[in-house]
Amino acid sequence: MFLRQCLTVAAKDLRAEWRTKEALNASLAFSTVILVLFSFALDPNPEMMQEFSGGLLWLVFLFAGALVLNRSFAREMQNDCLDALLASPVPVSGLFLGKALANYALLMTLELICLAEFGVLFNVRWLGNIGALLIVMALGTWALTVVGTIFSALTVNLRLREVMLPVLVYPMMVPPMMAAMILTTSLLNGDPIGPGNILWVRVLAGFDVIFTLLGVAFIDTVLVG
Amino acid sequence: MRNRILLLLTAAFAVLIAWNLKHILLGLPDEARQDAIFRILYFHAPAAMVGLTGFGVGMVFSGVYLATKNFYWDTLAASTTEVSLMLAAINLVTGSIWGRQQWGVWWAWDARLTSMLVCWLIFAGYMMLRRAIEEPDTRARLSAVVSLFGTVNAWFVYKVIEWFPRLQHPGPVLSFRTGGRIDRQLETPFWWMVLAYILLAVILVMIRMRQESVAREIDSLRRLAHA
Amino acid sequence: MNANFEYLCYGLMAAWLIVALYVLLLGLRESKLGKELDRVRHMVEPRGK
Repeated sequence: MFLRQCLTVAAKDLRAEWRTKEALNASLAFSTVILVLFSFALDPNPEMMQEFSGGLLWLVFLFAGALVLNRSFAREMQNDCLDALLASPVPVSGLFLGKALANYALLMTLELICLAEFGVLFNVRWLGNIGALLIVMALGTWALTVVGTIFSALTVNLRLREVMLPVLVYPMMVPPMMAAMILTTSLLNGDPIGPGNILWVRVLAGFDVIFTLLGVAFIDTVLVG
Repeated sequence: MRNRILLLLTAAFAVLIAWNLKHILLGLPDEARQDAIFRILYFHAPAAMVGLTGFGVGMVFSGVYLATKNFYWDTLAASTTEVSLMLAAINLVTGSIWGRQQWGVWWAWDARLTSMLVCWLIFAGYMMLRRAIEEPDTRARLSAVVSLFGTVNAWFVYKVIEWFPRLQHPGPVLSFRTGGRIDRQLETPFWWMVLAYILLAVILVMIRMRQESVAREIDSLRRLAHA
Repeated sequence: MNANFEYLCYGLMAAWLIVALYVLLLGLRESKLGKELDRVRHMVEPRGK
């Protein structure tokens, strides 16, 4: 029942997004521009790519992802949609998870496209460890989604919403982003996830679990009070 | 009454810091360490200890606010976090200067400094958020949530950066947790410094609390005037 | 004492400077609040009469 409610909310968001494609287009355009700018700024050679590939990729995900996450609750402000949602029989935690799932789908789509662009622009082979890479992306993106969604809800009523969301979210993303960047760099270099790296996967998983629980627990406080 | 306590605490702080400074600068045996710069540890590490504790205490106060909805706790949380932000800044700047002297760089990406920097950024965001919200109820509620998330995150950051290979502390680490490594003579001023910082924090929080109650009085008077 | 005293001085100065800046900030806030309080009290008084 609860799951069905979450999925309904997620489907609503995804449908709205699919019809307008606002956030997706904007973030895709933004990420492409950033990738091109980075390739001009850094003039990548294979040695440098060996060290920085993961870091660069996740930076792009972070920047472009902020656009998607911002829209998540901002979209509900018009016509008092947020109040309507809060008044509906869907529990607030269900609303949060539903929106998080929708954001997750959008972010993963964005990231897969970015990955392809990244491979082309920076001459990086990513098909090698694709399975492990997808797992790392999945875990890291969920971390970004869950923190971003709760802070999107938090900043929805502020004047400086577009500024406050990154300012609050990015420092909090340091632990999972570090883990994701390290893992991605080593995966893109062709090394599989071994006993040296498994620690970072645990960090990602732990972060995901803890912050999902925190988000579900406090979304009520944030939205309703 | 409150003013008298404040005055007493300030006097205690002044005496303590003067005595401790004298002891640190002149009293410590010189043959223990060759260079004078290590004395900066006495300002660097206690600031971190008290600052980080302050952030945690702020989170606790935020939690109490959420449970009781009494604004007193929200004000206390904000004041404590603000003062801790100042202490974290002291830690960062003294750490940077120490690093410049020891390793030749203004900033070394080592575990402790970086995790403190991220902590500082998280709670600076907290202060920015508070400034952006005008309604006291919303402000208290939302900043309490940020404080909670921020403190959990700060713990995470510390753990993660400890494991990050590139960020190993390039120089000697004085870890008081290992215990027994530090000469008793060297250790005592350290704990007095911690006490001094705690006193300083309490004094500043008390001043800040008084300002907040004045601000609340202004708010209510303004509402009365407009009614 | 000896070498590196220069940097020790910088460090101590920096620490005290930060404390001083914060106290200054508090002081400024105090005076601003004081003025605002007077202004609002002034606004309320004549109305109350």
